[in-house]
Amino acid sequence: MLTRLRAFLLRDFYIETSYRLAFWVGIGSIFLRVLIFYFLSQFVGDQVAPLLEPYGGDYFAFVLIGLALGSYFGVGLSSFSQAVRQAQTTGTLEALLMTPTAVGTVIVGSAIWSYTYATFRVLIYLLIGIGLLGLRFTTTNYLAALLALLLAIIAFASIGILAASVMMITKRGEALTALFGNAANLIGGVFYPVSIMPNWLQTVAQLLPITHALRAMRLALLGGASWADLAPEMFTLAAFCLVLFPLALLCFRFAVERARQEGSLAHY
Amino acid sequence: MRDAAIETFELTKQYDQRPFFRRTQGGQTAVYPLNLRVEPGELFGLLGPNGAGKTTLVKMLCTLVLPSGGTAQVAGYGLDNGSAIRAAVGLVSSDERSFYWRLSAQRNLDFFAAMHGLRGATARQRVAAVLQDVGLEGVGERPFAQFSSGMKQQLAIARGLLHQPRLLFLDEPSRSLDPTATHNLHLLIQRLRREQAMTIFLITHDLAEAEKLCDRVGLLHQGKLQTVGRPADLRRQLWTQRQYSIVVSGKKTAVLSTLASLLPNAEASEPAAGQTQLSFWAEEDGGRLTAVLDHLRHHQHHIYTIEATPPSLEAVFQRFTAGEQGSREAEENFLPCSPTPLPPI
Repeated sequence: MLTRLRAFLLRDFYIETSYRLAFWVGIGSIFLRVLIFYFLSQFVGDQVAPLLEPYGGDYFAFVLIGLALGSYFGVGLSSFSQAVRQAQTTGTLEALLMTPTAVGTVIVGSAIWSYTYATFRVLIYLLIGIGLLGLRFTTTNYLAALLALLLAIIAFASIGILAASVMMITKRGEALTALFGNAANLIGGVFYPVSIMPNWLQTVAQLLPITHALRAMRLALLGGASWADLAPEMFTLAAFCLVLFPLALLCFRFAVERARQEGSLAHY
Repeated sequence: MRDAAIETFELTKQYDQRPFFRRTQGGQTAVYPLNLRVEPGELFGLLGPNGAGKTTLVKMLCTLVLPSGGTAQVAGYGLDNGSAIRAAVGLVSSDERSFYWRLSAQRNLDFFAAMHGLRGATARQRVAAVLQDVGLEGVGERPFAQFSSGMKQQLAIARGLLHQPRLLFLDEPSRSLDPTATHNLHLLIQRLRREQAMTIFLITHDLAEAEKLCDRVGLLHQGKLQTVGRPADLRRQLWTQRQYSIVVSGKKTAVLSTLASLLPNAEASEPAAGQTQLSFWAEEDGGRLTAVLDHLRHHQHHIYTIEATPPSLEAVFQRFTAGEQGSREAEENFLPCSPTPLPPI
């Protein structure tokens, strides 16, 4: 299993770095994005502080965590279906499924580089924020933040694998990922707190794992929340994971079986 | 009786026309109930025109496509044991897209070796060995995108051999190869059989290749396995005639006039002054040939040479699959149980 996951990681690392310009432009764009939100935070200043009180009151720190976790959400949502799509169009899916590698390993392995790269990007976000723009985490529950991140990654990946299952059968899954991506940006609390939205939208937001993940991460990193404070968000995230992850793997297996029935593994 | 390398029992594939949202009765049948046994160590060739169902059959045997009915044993495993089958068999498809174009040949093979569970020194050793086997040693560091079609095909063969399968499926392996590479491929296939007793299932359009390499061949047409046999037997079974070429004295018009009742469709030419070359199909038993020769002698034509050429498997195949109408006629006339010759004389 580890040999195979390492092989996926190396494969995608070599492919990614073979597009050198795109690789370095991607890294450079992180600087620009951080700067945009830094200046936006300077612009809004203390006006939004009351709304951000549970999270320490600093908009830059608030939005930086939103961007970082948003990266994982984006990766979770799109990397699996993109990997399936790419494997279908390049014809490598059949070659992969001709090996004794389990379908679960194929789907997880296909996204492992994307997660690694997302982590790299998040580190750059934090490095820029801390090193150049004066971001400080004063009261922080790192262990809880780490657990929230882990649960968030699993929950996001589950949605991504569901999208990949749709992609496997219908050969198009972009609509589903776009829907979830936009919903997350709109109501998940990436750029502003959920509390500023109308009540009914706040209720809908509770159905998205990113809402709970962002709240838990921010409370842990910026508010120094205790385990007890974080328990509702953590349990909700864990419930998402317990339901969605097995469901997603089952759906993907079903989708592969369906494609085998149709003889459409290599179709796109 | 030994366990077969491949044995199918009424293996069938029918594709639904509206497979996801609404099932419909019927659909396109790619493979009709098919029974076939391939022995261990055998080189079996599957011939058939485009759309005959060859690739669907192989994909079912490789567990990439699920059958609609029937079952099969492949390398000793049932089709429900896909993982074991995929560990025991190799597939060389004719799809040259199935590699990572930005990666070198070496890194492509490293990746697929890992997918087969090969690690460390074993993986490196196997990758080097298969690159050498297919004649790509020395170019392993080149990106796949820079490979010619032939080299891509050679790399596909190398990938199929990485995990030392007991059974190798080759789907038109020589399609993109030049004559030298094709010759080397044939040598490799023969070596794999000799040294590793590997069972090989070869899909090919190249009938000369099938005749040269295969112990037995099967003809698949419109999803039905029409017949199976040794190439030479198959040719005899399906086409009991030979093409005769006779050079006789006399002008073409006179010779044709003499034989008008016996050989109304004979072709004739004049290779030299006062000589006519006749070309016609007749039964191998020699009955019609004897009649023609007697007739010629009776009309004072001197016979210089007689040549008899058996039909190539290609000719048999072309007759067998020529067009819808031709196919129906061919099926009626060429089923192994039918001794009726097809080509009219």
